[in-house]
Amino acid sequence: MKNRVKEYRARYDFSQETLASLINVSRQTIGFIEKNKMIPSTLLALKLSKVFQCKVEDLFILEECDE
Amino acid sequence: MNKFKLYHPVIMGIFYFCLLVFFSYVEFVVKNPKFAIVTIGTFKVHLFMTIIVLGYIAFSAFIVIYSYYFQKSNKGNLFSLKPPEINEDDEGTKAIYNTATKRIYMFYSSVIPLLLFIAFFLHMFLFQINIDMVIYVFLVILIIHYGIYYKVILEYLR
Repeated sequence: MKNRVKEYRARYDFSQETLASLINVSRQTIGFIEKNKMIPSTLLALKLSKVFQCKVEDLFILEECDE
Repeated sequence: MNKFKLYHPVIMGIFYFCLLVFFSYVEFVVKNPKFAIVTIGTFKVHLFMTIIVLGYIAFSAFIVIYSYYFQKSNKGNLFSLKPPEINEDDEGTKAIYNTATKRIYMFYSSVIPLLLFIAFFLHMFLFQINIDMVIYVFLVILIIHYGIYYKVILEYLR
């Protein structure tokens, strides 16, 4: 699964720390998500989509190997 | 992320490594008493006693500092059985904990049957296993255990 969290974060000009404080996680967790080291929970994905005012599927994209 | 919780495995790994070195040294000197005192120039230094005293001071200091941070990370509870590395404050730390515990489980599920087999074989056919060996094996297992945990932390943080 790919994600576009870093791209959206840049678009909104948020630092990892700002985004982390908006969704109540640590800065490192944002780094782990951006580097694809972890898949966030549904709750966290929904919080991210709310912050970026987009759909969850715009942020997280299934790849062929996931299907 | 709480630094004490995050780096707890490396703190414990170093602690058990120091304990292993200390025990090995004490056992070595007990078996070879001539190494207890070393001569540097014209001075005779009682190295063994110096290391015992320094070891005692270092151990006491570690216990005091560790207890302070342990109770701080456990909401004032000094006698909690929950290790600080079980950190579920945040999804990132949960991911580290999940990966690390999976690997440690794999380590224990392979090393314990192997050690049982080796211990049984040595005990039955070669020699009596003494308590020193058991202590060293436990210390090495603990060092590897915390090493695995810390490796996962580094993989995530890199």
